[in-house]
Amino acid sequence: MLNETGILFDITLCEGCGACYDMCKEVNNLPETNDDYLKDHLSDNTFTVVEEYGEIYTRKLCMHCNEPACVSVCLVGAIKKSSTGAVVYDADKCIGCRYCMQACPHSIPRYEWGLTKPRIRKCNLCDDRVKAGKLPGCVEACPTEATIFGKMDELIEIAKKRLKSDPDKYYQHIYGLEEAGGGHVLIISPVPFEQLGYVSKLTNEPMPEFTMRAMEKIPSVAIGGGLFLSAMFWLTKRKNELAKEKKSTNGKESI
Amino acid sequence: MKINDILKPTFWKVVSVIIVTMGLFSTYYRFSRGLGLTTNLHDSVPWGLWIGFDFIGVGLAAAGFTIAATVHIFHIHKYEPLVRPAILTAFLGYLVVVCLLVVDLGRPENFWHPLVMWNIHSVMFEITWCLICYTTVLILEFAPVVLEKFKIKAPIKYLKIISIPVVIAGVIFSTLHQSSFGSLYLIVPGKLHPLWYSSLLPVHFYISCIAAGLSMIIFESFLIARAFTKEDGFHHTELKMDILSGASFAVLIALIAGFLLKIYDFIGNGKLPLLTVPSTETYFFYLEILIGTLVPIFLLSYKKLIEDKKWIYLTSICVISGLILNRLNVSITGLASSSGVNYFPSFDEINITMMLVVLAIFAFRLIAKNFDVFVSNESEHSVNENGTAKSKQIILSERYE
Amino acid sequence: MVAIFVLALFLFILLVDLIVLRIQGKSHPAFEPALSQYDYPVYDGNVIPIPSNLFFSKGHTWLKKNKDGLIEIGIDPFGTTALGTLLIQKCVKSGKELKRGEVILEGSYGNKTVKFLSPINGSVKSINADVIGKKISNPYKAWGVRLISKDSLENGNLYFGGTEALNWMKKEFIKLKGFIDDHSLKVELVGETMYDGGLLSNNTSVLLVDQSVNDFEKEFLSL
Repeated sequence: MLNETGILFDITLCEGCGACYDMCKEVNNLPETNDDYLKDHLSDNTFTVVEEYGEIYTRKLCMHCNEPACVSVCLVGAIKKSSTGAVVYDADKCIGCRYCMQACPHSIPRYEWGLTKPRIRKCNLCDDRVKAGKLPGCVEACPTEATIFGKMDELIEIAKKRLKSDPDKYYQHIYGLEEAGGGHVLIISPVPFEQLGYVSKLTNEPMPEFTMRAMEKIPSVAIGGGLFLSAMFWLTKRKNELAKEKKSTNGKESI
Repeated sequence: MKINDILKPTFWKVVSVIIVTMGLFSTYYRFSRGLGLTTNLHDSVPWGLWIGFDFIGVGLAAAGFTIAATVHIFHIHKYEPLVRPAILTAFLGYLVVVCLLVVDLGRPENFWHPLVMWNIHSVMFEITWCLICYTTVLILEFAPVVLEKFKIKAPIKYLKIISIPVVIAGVIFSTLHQSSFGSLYLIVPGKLHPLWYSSLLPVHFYISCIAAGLSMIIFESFLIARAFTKEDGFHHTELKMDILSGASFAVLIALIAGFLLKIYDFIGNGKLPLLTVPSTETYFFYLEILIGTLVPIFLLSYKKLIEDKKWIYLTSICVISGLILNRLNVSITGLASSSGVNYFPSFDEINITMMLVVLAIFAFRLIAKNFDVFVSNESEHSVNENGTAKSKQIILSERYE
Repeated sequence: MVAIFVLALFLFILLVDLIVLRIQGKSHPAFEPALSQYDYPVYDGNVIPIPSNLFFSKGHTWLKKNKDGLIEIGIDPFGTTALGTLLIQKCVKSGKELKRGEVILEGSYGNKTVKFLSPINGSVKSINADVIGKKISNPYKAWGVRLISKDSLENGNLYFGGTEALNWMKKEFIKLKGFIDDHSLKVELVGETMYDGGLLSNNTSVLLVDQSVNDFEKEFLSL
């Protein structure tokens, strides 16, 4: 956790220039998908978008959860947490079940529906660049420092400080700090987040917990069930044998 | 069976050939063009008809373990005649499910990855392994039928020795994966409509599959009684009313248990107000409960109706319909509002699904005609213990002679 | 919507199936007349018992294996009463090598002759002249032919006994009722017949025309 990095996005600083959008496309070699970046949406060729809500501009991208639902549901482990904290995807392992898309509480992963060998596509927080000591594309491109990169604890400090120093300017909540167990993308905003199209009714519990509560019962069901069935097998067999013996002795008596 | 008999066109043969032909074309398109062009799936609806149908298929194949447990573990030998049809149904049902899964996979060439790449935290991983293990169990359970046919006696002895552990393992694997299909949706509390989302989802799935699996076997008995006539050399395919009534009674108990659990769930989680919200989901929910639970419970609780084959048949259709509605409500209807898209399967999706169902029915016929699915050679017990059905006729003959 | 669609498709197929059966003139097992109504009174044990030591063939003959290895063959209760009282007219000759499917007995309902086929291969040892031309009161006593055969009666595809025979017999009576209705045969008050939903009604007989005799042989007496 100490060395894990992430990004903080301050909506109040964003001017909606779209530099992050362009840079993301460039870094990830993605083709152009829309003439007007403000009208684009997340897709297999778009990992981050800038959205316009009146005067306010905001970004959507993978939240890089601490305990990601997508990582926990992937049966072959094609989606993993990187050492940097980013949630990364290995297409060679993927079998294409799309459970990650279904499970993601933020509905982020996209799919290459048009291809015969499709991949899951989403932001990977420029994991390779970060490991090579560079900034993620969107951070490097941002002219207003609306998106900044850093160690998670530092980012949290900064966010808290900003909320505190200017309580009128900010809605008092750091989105992404606790949602679905928290993640590596923090967002602070002047208005409540549901007004900006963020999923707002998320629990603070990591999503995999919901599954684990059922999954952890499996060993006891298996062992208990096995014992119960064996016992029933033996008991009913014995009962039938007794009944048969009784029948045959009765029969003899009557003869 | 003469060639002429096979080629003689009947209504369903013609329909089947059309469905399979269309299905083959769709399959070709699906694999050559990818999912995007051939299905109506997209980023907001990653799972569609195929996954929904997998839930239905697995749910309806549940009789494979319930009947096996009833006969081999609880020693209620009255139901012995149902064991082989149930196992065959389960096996073919799972085959359809596996085929649909492979069709649905984006990278079907990697389907073997779960064998070597493990993520034990994934429900999908657990389901995959349970499916593999249970299919093996089904093969072991059905193997004696095949071996008998080819008169290979040696392995049957060993299969008999391991038969009880195999049945027990089968019940446990089934319990785990039937419920795990519900667990798949535990991770989407925010997306799945609260009418269906519940931490008890695995238990709901498990209980409903027991009722529906048995109903499927009852339903199938009628199909069998019709399709496999004496003229084809079939015996033991008549409707055995005492068995069907008994199975229907088990369905009734499972339905009541499921209903009570639903009530407990709704009261415990304060979901009752949801029932008065007018929305598509609410109507679908009512339809599901009405057709799949309330009507069958009502019908089956009349002694007269539970002994009447017409009503047993109609009830089994109700319960099966209820399962179809429930599984598709969970996998499609309940997720529609959170995805914001109204999904309807494409022509190709429907074609491929129908093709696999038709092929399964065809395989069932083929196997039933060539192997002793309806004759139970292990029925020593049933002859000894289940004298009731035959005693009547024995009395007749004794009196006569 | 998908849920409704799949459900509708499922129910639609069931419905089409029922309609197809209707058109083919068959009935769905769930909706065909309940067999239980035929349990009574025909099968209360006094009217038509199914002895457990007998085998039945689809041609409405019964077979009984005696201790000496000879097989007795007679006409079953359905055959003796189906379209009125059956009088056996002719038997095969003693000593004949009989093949399965060849005519073994000839009988008549009124003035119409029907042929019963041999259910088994074998050589005829003796025939029972007592049954010829007489009204049969007890079908199982009135054996017609005794023969020796190498064929096994245990072949479940050809011969059945017990519950199976009982159920088959019930279905035959259901079929007969349909047959009589379909051929719009008139029932006259002579002799004895199984008409009337399986009730043995005395003094009724079915007025047969030539075509219906052929159909009757095809439907009920073929193996």
